[in-house]
Amino acid sequence: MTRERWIKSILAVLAVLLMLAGGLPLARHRHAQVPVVAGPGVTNVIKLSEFLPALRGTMADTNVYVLEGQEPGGKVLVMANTHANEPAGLLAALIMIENAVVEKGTLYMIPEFNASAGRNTKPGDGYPLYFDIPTEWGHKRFRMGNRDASPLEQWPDPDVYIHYPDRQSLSFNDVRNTNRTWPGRPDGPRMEQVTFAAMELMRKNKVNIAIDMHGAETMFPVTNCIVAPIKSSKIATLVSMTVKAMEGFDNHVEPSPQNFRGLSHREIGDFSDTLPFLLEAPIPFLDQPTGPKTTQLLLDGKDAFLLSLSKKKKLFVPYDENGWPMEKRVGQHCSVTLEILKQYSKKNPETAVRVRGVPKYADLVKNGVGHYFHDPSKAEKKSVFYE
Amino acid sequence: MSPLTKGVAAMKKTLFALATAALVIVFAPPAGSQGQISKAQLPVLTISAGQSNDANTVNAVLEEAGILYDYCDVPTVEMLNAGVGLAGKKSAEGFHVESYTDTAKYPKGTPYKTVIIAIGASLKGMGASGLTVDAEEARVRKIIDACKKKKIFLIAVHPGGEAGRGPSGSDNERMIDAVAPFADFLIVTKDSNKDGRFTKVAALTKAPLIQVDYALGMVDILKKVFI
Amino acid sequence: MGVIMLLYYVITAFIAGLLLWNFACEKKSVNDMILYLLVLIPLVLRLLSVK
Repeated sequence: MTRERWIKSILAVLAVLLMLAGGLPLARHRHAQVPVVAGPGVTNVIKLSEFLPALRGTMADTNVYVLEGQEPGGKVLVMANTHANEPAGLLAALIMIENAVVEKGTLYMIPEFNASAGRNTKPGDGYPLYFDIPTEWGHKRFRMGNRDASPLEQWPDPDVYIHYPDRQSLSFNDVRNTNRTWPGRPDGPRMEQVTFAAMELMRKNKVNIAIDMHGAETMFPVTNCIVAPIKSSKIATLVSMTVKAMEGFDNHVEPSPQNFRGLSHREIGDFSDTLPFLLEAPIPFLDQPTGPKTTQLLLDGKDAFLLSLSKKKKLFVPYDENGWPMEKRVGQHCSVTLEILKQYSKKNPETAVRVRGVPKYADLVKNGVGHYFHDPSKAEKKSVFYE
Repeated sequence: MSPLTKGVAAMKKTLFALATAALVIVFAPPAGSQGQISKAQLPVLTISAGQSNDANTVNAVLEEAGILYDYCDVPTVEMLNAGVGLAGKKSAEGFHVESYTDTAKYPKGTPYKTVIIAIGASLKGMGASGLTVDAEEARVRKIIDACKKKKIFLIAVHPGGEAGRGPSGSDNERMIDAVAPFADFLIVTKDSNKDGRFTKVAALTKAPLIQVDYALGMVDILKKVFI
Repeated sequence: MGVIMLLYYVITAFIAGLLLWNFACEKKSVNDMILYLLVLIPLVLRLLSVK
């Protein structure tokens, strides 16, 4: 073989090895499954594509866990992982699926709302591919996703995303962000189809409340809050006051801006009778000025740079050496969700929703997140679903 | 009367006067004291100074307390003067009106006896109503002037805590400056008054000041205000 | 998959092909050979639906 061929062969082999070294973990991540043990309250598991067949067979289709109570009542849609790099909502939703029992009304739980984003990665920013939650029976592994859907589901991005139907100009990558594509349309880009399917779920089932769980940086003012439009603001205000006084964590209400289109707290309320609430809990991992993006930072929120910024009053949340552990964030989401149901039910007794078995903030801080996950290897096969 | 008897009588009068003075000093509440809940009358109008969500907090508290009210986020003096029903105005973009006052007791047009002002600045809220900070401050001052002219009881509420404060000259502080010195009664959270700002205002104006741990604590206070 | 997305995959495959052809034809510059392969990596990962 000539020298040139030797060199080319070696380089080609190296390139293939590099592709394998980089690509195999990404491929594994994309197809990794997270087992979910459906709790005693789950009465059915359907697919979002039931509300829009165009999603069937795509990575954007996702599970909808239905928890129907014995007594008819109100209906609630709970969504998490709209942004799959904000996992506190996912964990809270899975805890509810694995433990909640609905006595009155119906819960529709979508823990991986942007299923494609949950299988997307951000290795260029040093994000870990997975994180583990310690449980009593071992470690439960979750995929760490990205904010936006994967281009493998929806490509190319436009230069500017023109929001439907408002025609507001949004950032190009927001076309893959399911918190910018509401209310969606059946023949739009894939993520618009996802949000359209969710709107159909709400309209067809006459859902009363929609809760969208998120996380936001500590340097961002819209954190530790409920974002609500005018029609939800009274309930949101009561919820915020109550959790602050009775459960001891900070919370406030942010009004949903009328001129910022595409967000769930705006469009769900404008395009249906459902009352939307978007919950934000702090996630130090997403702040720009932190150290390395490790799983430890994701789980405990401790960072020396943020601590220094906190002392200079640059953060919008109280922050100290204890960081902001996952237990607090998941606990906030659980407590705020339960309080929304309670306050709504007080004002609307005929469409009340009564749920038990969901831990509150104090329980999660005391017992940890993993305490509420069940061992899939010991569960009945028909109760185990995969995300 | 003998000199001795006169002396004893004088001493008794002096002692009596001293005792009365002592009783007054001990038991009379000093002006601007904390813990004193003022009484106010219905009908009540709630408004915002700064367009933050704190107005919703006040409304939510009134509802929990079972007190019916009218609300407008950016009322004009004319709307205030129109009384219950706010001249029939309806909500529109950037303008929010709610009317829950019991019109069987207080027919439309009944002058408001009390105005509750929720202090808290939000650029988002002001922007949504098409207002700048300067315009909002001017609007609030006009309303307060009108309330003073009509001898309407003004209750200033600051439930926003430390997040609803700021350095001197900031939007939040400007709203406090525009409202607090003119209030007849102040209700704030302890967090809002960490630096004693409202205590100093109350001491100057002699208005009673109540501090609550959390905004939810205002429910019991307002129940007692509007008996 | 929509028509535009399909076209983008076709364009990607075409550019990947061009890069492979350039790599095959390159005789002198090792730097250029490395460059062609490096640029090829993300295109191959996209064509294989990995990233």
